[in-house]
Amino acid sequence: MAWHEKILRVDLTKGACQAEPLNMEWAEQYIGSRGLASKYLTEEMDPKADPLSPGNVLIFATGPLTGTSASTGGRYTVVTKGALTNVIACSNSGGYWGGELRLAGWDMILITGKSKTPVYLHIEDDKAELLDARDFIWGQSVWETEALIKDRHHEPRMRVASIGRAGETLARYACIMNDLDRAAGRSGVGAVMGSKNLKAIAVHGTIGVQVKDPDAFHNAVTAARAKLDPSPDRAGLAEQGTISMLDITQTFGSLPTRNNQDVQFEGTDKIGAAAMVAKRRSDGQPNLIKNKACFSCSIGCGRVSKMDPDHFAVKDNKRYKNASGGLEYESIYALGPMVGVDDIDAATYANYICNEQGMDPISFGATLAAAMELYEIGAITDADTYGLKLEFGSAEALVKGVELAGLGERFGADLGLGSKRLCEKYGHPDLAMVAKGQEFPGYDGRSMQGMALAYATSNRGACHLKADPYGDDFDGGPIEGKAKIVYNSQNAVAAVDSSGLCLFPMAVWGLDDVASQLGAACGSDWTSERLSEAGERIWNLERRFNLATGLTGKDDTLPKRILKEAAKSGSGKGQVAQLDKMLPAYYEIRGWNDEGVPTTQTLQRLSLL
Amino acid sequence: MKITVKMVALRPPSPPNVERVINLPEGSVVANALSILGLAHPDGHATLLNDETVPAAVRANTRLKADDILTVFPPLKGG
Repeated sequence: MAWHEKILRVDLTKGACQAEPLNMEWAEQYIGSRGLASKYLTEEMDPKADPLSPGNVLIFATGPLTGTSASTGGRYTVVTKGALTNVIACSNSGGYWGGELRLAGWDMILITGKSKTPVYLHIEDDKAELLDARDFIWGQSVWETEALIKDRHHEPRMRVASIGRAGETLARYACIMNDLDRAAGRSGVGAVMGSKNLKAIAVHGTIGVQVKDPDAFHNAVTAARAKLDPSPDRAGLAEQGTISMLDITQTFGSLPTRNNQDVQFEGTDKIGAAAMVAKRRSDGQPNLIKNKACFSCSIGCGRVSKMDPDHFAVKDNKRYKNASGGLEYESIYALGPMVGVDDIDAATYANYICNEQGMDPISFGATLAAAMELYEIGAITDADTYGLKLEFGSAEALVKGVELAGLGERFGADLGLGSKRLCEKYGHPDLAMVAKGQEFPGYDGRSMQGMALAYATSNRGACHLKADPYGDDFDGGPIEGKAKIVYNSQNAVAAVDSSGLCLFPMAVWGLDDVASQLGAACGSDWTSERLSEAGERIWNLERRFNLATGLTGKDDTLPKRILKEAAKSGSGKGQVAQLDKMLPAYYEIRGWNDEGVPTTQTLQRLSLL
Repeated sequence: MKITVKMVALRPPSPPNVERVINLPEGSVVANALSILGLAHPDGHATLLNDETVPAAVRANTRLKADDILTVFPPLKGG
C-alpha cells in the first residue's frame, strides 16, 4: 500500500501535534491529495468561516504516487478556503517538499486554529513539533527562512515550505513556497497560513514509501516512461519550458494584454522563448541558463535564469544577480503583456521577488494591470500611489510595484488586495479581470471559448489548469462541443491532481497510464473509468462546499469586458465570450439544475448523499 | 501560386518561429500545404488561415489562394 495511512493533525490554538489514521474509505473514493483533502475540509470546517479566521482549516496533502518513482510523482496540494476567493482553494506544487513529507512517513498535515505567536512546524520522520518563529524567521523572506531553518537544524537536506512577507502581511494572493521557487501559488493559501501565525513547515524524512506490488509498479512506471520520455512533448517542455505558449497565444490572439484591453502584444519578441536564450550584450549570457526537474520527474521543465547584471533593477544589488527560478508562461504573461512591459529582465526580477516574498505572479501582475488601468482613467492618482507612475509599459512601475507588494508597504498594501478588492475600492469593479475573485491566467476567453467556460466554472476561480480545452480551442471547435470537453477534462484533471502526479505527462499519457501506476502502488483496482468518476465526485464535492459558502450560479461568470467588448484582433476578432450558450449545456451535462446546483440524482450517482 | 507559411512555437531542434514562402498548384487546399512542410505529425498541429482558425476536419476542403498566410502551430497545453 503506497499510503502510510497516517495524518499529522496540528492544533495551533493548543500548540499540539498528533498522529491519527488516514480515512482509507475516503481514500478509495477521493484518491488522495486534492480530492481527499477536499473531503477532509468539507468535514472539518464551517464553509461560511472567514478564510483568515482561526475557523479555517489548512491542509497539506500528498497523493498515493507522491514520493514514489512514478515520473512527476512529487506533487502535493494545499487545500483550504481561499483568502483571495472565499471559496475552496486547491493549490498544487512540485519541487521536493511533497516527496519529503511522504519519505518522513506522513500522508497529510491538517492544521486548525491559530497560534498566539508565530511558530513553525518541524518534522523529522515520526517526530513533529511546533517551534517558536519569533526573533528567528518571522519577518524574513522565503529564501532567508529556508536557509535559517536548515542552518538551525544542521540538516541541509531538509525541505521547507514557507510564507514570505506577503503571507505575513496577508496579501490576498500570497503563496506557500517550497524549495525556494516552487509554489502552491493560487487563491491566497499563503495568506491563510499567515493568518494562523504559521511561518513554515520544515520536513526531513528517512522512512520512505512502500508500494503494494513492487514488480507491477516497476513495470507500470517503466511502461509509462517509455511513452513519456522519448516524446517530442517532453523534449519541448525540457528545452523551452512552458514559455513557447507566448508565441502561440500571441499568434492566436488570446494573449491578455494591458488588463485584457488587447489580445495581442507588440513586444512578445523581446520576452518570448527566443529572447530567453538570446545572448545579452552586457555579459554575453542568456537569461535562461538551464532547466531543472522536480522530485522523480523525467521532464525537467523548470527554468533557472540569470538577470542582466547591468539591469537597473539589480545593478546595485548583488543578491539578485545569482541564478534563480526563471519565467514560465504564466509569469511572463502576467509580468509582461498584461502590464504592457517588454523588458525580460524586469519581468525576471519581478518573478524573483514573487518567489522571495511568496506571491502569485499571475495575481500580482493582473492586479498591477488593473491598477494601471485605474491610473490611466484617473481613478487612482499619484496621491494614492505615493507618486509612483503606474503607466502601462513601465518597467519601473513593475519593479517598484512588486517590491512594495512583497512587503505590503504604501501602495503595495493596495496591490495586495487583489484585482477584485482593488477595483471595488477605487469604484470600478468591472475592471477586475477575475472569475470568482481570482485573476485570469494567460488566456483570453474571447478567442478561446472553452477556456472562457473553464474560467467561469472553475471551483477555485479563474484557472488554466482545472480543465483542458486547449486543443479544441486552438482547432476552432464549435461552441456546441465546449461544455462536454470542459466537463470531461475537469473530471480527468481532478483525478490526476489527486494522484500525486503533475499534469504535464498528460500531454502523452491517458488516464489508463495513471490508473496502472496507481493500481500497482495502492493495490486497488483503478481504471480510467473509475478515475473519471472519482474526478467527477471531487468536482461536485468542491462545488457543494462552494455553494455552502454562499456562492450561487450567478458567480459562474466573467467580467463585462470579456462578455460585452469584442476582441480587437486575432482569431477571435469581433467576438465576445459566448458564456450564455455554453453554461446551460454545461449545467445539463454536469447533472446540475438551472441554478448550478447538483441534483439529488447526481449526488446519489456519485455517492455524495 | 505563392503563399506565406508561418510556423510558430516549433519544438527543438527547430528554431521556434519560422516564416517562408511556398509554391503550390492552383486549387490546393490547406491539407496540401501541411503535407509538404516536413512536419512529423501534420494533423497534430493547429492552423490559422489569414488569422481565422481552420479546424482539422475541414483542411481537406479549405481552398488556398495566392498571398494567403497560413499559420501552423502545435496545440500546446498550458502550465
